[in-house]
Amino acid sequence: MKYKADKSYKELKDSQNYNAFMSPMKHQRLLNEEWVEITNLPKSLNKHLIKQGQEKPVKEKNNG
Amino acid sequence: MAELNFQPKNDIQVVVGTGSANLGTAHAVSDTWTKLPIVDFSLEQASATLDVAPHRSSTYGQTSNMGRHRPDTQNYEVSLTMRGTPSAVTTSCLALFGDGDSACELKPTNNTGTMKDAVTNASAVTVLFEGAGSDSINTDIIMKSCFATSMTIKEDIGSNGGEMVVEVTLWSAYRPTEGLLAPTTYTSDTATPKNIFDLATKTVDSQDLIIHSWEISISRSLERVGYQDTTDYDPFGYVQTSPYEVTGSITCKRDNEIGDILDHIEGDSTAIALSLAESSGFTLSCPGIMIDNSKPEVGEYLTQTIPFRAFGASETDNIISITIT
Repeated sequence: MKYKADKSYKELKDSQNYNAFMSPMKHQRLLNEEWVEITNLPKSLNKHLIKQGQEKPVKEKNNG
Repeated sequence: MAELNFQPKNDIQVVVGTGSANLGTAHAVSDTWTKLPIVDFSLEQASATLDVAPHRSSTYGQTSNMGRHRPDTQNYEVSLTMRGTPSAVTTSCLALFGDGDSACELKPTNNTGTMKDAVTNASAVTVLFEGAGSDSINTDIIMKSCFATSMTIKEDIGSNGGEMVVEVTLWSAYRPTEGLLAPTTYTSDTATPKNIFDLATKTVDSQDLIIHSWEISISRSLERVGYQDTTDYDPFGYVQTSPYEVTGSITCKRDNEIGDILDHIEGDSTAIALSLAESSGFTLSCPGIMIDNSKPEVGEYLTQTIPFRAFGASETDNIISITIT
């Protein structure tokens, strides 16, 4: 399953983000707002990542 | 009186520390430590090569002032051979290309972070050889700030009961030390290794091959950057001097599936997919390999050896992806 970072992920300390889960590359890619393939999502990161297909719809700006 | 002690190889435990640590500093006892399923290993020791200056004309001997030790150029390298468990694979991937969480993905953009002395790095590992120290008090050998320069994953129906074998070469430019380092806790990896007889998918370009053995190697080279002082000869850091190269080979039964990939064997410069997977828990995928001079082998029945090199389709695509749990 692919995930990307929510805003809150970027605020996490190194002891909480993917640096602490043996993947500095996943951490870098999440910071770069890339989709990342994750097999077993650590529970503590669940609320900081967005699963592909479950993104919130972007609200359209009302220009009128 | 001569010392009567000796050091049995099987008394030595190899434990690897991971997590963020400054380059040049060993992982703390409170960090994450894993006792990997090691079956063989090599050892290092702080040491130096000896340079010799030229002798003066009219003399024919070498005098001691001509000798110069060179700890400033020394690198340290150990190889670990492990049973193919998830942590053996993921720890190797972490130290080699910075992704030790399944799916471990190597893309052309991968790296192992800033490799500069005293700067934090989450890809480097500390290797602790418990019981390998030569001293009765300092009983361990500690290798800090190690990165992998190569790893090989392989399976063969003819050896180790088909079990996966992982070989990793770990490299450091910091002197190994003999001391005591007792991790607060460590996880002993007792997971079941992957096995060639459990492979459910074995395809090249979607052709289902009857595979006898396969192996894949990922490698790169590192160099030390100078030395900071003449006390410890610590480097200023490391630089990576080559791209990641992913090569491998498959040996399989020669049949009409080989005939179906003949155009790629003959050489069409087209990348094709390699997939090796168990029904769950293991998938190795190289989306773009090119076959490199494949030949038939003559035994009691014919087999085909397929050497290959893996490429990423672009800088953001996988060269290799390993899903392992």
